Amino acid sequence: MIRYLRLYAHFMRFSISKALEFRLDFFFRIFMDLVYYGIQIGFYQAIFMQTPLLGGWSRDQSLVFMGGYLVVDAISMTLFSNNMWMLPVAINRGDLDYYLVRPVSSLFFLSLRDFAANSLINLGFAVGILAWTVLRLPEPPHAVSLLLFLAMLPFGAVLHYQMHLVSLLPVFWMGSGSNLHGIFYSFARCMERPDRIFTGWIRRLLVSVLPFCLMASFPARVFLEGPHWPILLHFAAVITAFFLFIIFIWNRGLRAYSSASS
Amino acid sequence: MNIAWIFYLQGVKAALSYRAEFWINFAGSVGSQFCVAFFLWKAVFLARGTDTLQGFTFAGLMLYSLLVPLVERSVMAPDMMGIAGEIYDGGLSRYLLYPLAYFQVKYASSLAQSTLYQGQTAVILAVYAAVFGSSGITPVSLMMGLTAIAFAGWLGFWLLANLEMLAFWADNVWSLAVMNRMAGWLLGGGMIPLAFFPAWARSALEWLPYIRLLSFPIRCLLGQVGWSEWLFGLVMTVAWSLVFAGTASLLWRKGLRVYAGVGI
Repeated sequence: MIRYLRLYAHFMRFSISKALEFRLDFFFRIFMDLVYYGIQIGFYQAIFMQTPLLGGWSRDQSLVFMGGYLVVDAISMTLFSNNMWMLPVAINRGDLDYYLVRPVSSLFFLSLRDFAANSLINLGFAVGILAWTVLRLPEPPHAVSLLLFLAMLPFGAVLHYQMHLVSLLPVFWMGSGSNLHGIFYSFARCMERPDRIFTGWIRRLLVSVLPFCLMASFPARVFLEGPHWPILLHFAAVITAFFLFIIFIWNRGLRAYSSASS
Repeated sequence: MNIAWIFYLQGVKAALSYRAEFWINFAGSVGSQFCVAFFLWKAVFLARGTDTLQGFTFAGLMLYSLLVPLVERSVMAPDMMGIAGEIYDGGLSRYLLYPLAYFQVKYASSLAQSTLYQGQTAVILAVYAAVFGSSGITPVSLMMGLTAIAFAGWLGFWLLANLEMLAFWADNVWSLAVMNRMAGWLLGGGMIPLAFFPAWARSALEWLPYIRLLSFPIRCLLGQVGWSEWLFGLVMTVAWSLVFAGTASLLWRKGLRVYAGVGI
């Protein structure tokens, strides 16, 4: 474990020094995420000009949910996203060879080696927006609910990473993975809406097999409606199940991997 | 054979080279966007307890939401056009050595993708009309809409070309292209129809280019635009295209002076 932590510290150091070599791009990326945050706030303001409630939540409650998914997105962008972009390329071109021969978990290396320093700054902005939305609530938050909410958000980001990885793993068997990102990001929009607007089998799908609605909605529900054990257990069970599923598929994928031009 | 035509055909072949992915991506992105819009607006209509919102019925909003990803794919290339990449890796040099009109070639490739997406749009609209009825789409509105999409594709090309050519000076312009897409998504009426914006915002957006990329072609397809507004919209699209074509030409000339041709 200590070895992995030390390795991750090296990843962070290299990534930050690399990011600061391309300063204009570094600031462009920060600004890009700020535009995204502005668009999300603008969207919810426009929606609540039409309705008093969305999925059972008021404007203030929905803004807390929005702040939550901005934090989930920022954590995911900081830790995982750059690595996920490169994963299909590494598999397709045979670059995976270089990771397989190293004496550490190849999945750990490929998932975390690039730390997005610019997104760390955006994480600060996202946390600021979340704090602003929490302070807007008419009643002061319950301390336990708030702590659980804050503890669940990083796990929401882990689930986001897991779903991204699952969407990319077919590249082991397909010729190209360039379009797989597009599919993931299209589905990831479900994360940006309260889970209770979805109904029927689509809702069941979005809280189980494609758990985009768990990432931010469930933490927000714990915060806004109080701790509820079935929600917490459901959340933990899905993350664990996806972890095991990924390990299984990764190992199957490595068996199918035939180095360059696989 | 005309060089641009050759590049157009190559672009079609490239887009279809991974057919399964092409169609899976198409179905996944359009289906998921439509699904999110369906449940969002259903929740809003239920909470509000009304039949219409800003002049849209639920069915009308669903058709609008279906058209957004279809038109977006036709007018805003999903990926960058490769100009920035060619500047970074020196691939631009081959265009400079041979008697090729660079923007003509790039536009032909971009048009190839756009044509395929327009074909997909036509298929989806035909299926929709067969299942749910025409919903205001007539042969005239279809003609007006497809013309607006063609013009919007030209505008989208020049807009993105400007951003990509900043690669002559900037380390990476990918984030600018993403910002452009996000701005188009909100300010062009992709996220929600512009009718849901306050009046002052709608008046301001009328003079920006983004409204010509999404909202205007979609409203044309839906038969919500009269002849005079259609003509005004096309004139505005052409005007913005000419502005961006002019700045692209300027950036091209200035950029070539600093282009190092790495990779020759």
